[in-house]
Amino acid sequence: MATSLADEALVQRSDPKPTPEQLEFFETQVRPLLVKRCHKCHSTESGPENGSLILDTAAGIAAGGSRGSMFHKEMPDKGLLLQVITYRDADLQMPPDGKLAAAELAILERWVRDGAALPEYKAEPRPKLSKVDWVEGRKFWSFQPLRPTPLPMISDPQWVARPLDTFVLAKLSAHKLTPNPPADRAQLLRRMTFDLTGLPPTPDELDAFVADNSAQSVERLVDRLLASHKTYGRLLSTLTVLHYAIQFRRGESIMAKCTNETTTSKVSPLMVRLDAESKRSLTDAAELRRISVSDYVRTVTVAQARREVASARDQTIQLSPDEQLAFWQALQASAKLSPAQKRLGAIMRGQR
Amino acid sequence: MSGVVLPPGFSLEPLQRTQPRRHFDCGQSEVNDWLHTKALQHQDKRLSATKVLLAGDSAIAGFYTLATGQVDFGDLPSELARKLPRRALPVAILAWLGVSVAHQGEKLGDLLLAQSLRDCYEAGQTFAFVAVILDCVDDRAKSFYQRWDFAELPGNPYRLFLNSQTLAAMMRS
Repeated sequence: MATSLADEALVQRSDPKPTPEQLEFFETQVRPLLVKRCHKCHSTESGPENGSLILDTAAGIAAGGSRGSMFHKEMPDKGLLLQVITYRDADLQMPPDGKLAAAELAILERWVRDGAALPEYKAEPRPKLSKVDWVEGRKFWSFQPLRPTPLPMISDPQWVARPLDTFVLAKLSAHKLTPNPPADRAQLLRRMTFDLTGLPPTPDELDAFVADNSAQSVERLVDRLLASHKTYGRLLSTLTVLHYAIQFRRGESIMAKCTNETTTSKVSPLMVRLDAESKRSLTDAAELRRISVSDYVRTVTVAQARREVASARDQTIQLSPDEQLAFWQALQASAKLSPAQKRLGAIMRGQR
Repeated sequence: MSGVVLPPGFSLEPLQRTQPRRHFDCGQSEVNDWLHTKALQHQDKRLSATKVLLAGDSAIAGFYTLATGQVDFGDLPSELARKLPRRALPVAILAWLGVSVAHQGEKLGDLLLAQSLRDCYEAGQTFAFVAVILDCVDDRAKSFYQRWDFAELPGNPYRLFLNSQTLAAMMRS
């Protein structure tokens, strides 16, 4: 604890001076309770992350947190402190891991109803706790107003079906790449199903889609996949309750909390360390899709993880295109045996 | 030739319920757990096949499990796809192999590996596959397989492979 209540200067106090009995009650009953049940999240040591509420200084207690004062002078029971510790507010209940015992509640109720006496303290304006640079933050690309962007020069205007394609073709040309031909029906179904569900289409779905030549077939396919309870919808709802949080802390790590899909009580922290190159790639990839890094991890990285888990169940080994090519080349390699392989071959053939 | 020559008193049999599989201990809990609790269930469901090496006292001295699988080749860029197959490639998988701590150091692992590859080769005469994939549970298992010059599957450091031409050459030479 950075500051103890006993050390605070007795300088200012607008409320009536507390009696010795009130102060004794605070020091012997209330303060130990705050230390035991609250300081882990609300102290100068834990920092301002939890509602900017600091409970290990009298000034902090008097000032309250980001929701204002904890006390209601005229109607003590309506004050925020008693609201949250009695779990009357469904959205804000403290402590979050379980209600205080009846005896503990009684101590705080008595203290609040008796005027919430505190040792005298120096009233100071609440420290500015936010470190966000709002001026700099407003320059972020997603906060910029929409404005027309001139189309880049391209080599093959015939390829462009809509203005957005111009940018795609320009970027491909810049990297000396040529566009793939349009995907056939089976390929299109496979890609869309993998993208939206993380699983391949079934043979029946393939037959139905290939046979459906109507102009709305793709639109219907997307609607069906988005509406799928077992796959995309479930993934989205799961992620919504996961509170999948991503932070780049000191620019080097991702912190994520994953919850088991079926049991909300199992919460396991997952720390992924990223090197600078990986982090940059992740940021660039998210930028290409015009989505946040969090959304990129949710929709691409997690989808890929689901795909690999599903594949493992089917004994299907997933390889990236580069890995597939390397594997294919290795499969074509001539069967020249190493001395070790010759020895193993001899054992296989029954030689001792 | 009927197969790999086993030391006197040892025999190789398909895994059966009557064998003392729960007493097997190779020092690797994941491998033990497979044989104790899952290998027979998977075999009953025809998902994999396990053979056990029985010592003279009928204790299980070692085992291996073979399964089939596939390597997905479906989503390649079109420039590459023209040259490569557009389907999942069938593979044989040496999923598990273990030698009891009581028999480690007797080269039984080499014999089990050789017999498992022989089984793959013989199955491959009827059901084609492009490679045998060897799953490694840890670095120790990986170094055991790498002594025989198996290559790493690209992007999968704990999966090694042997292409079917090499396998056939090993049986021929």
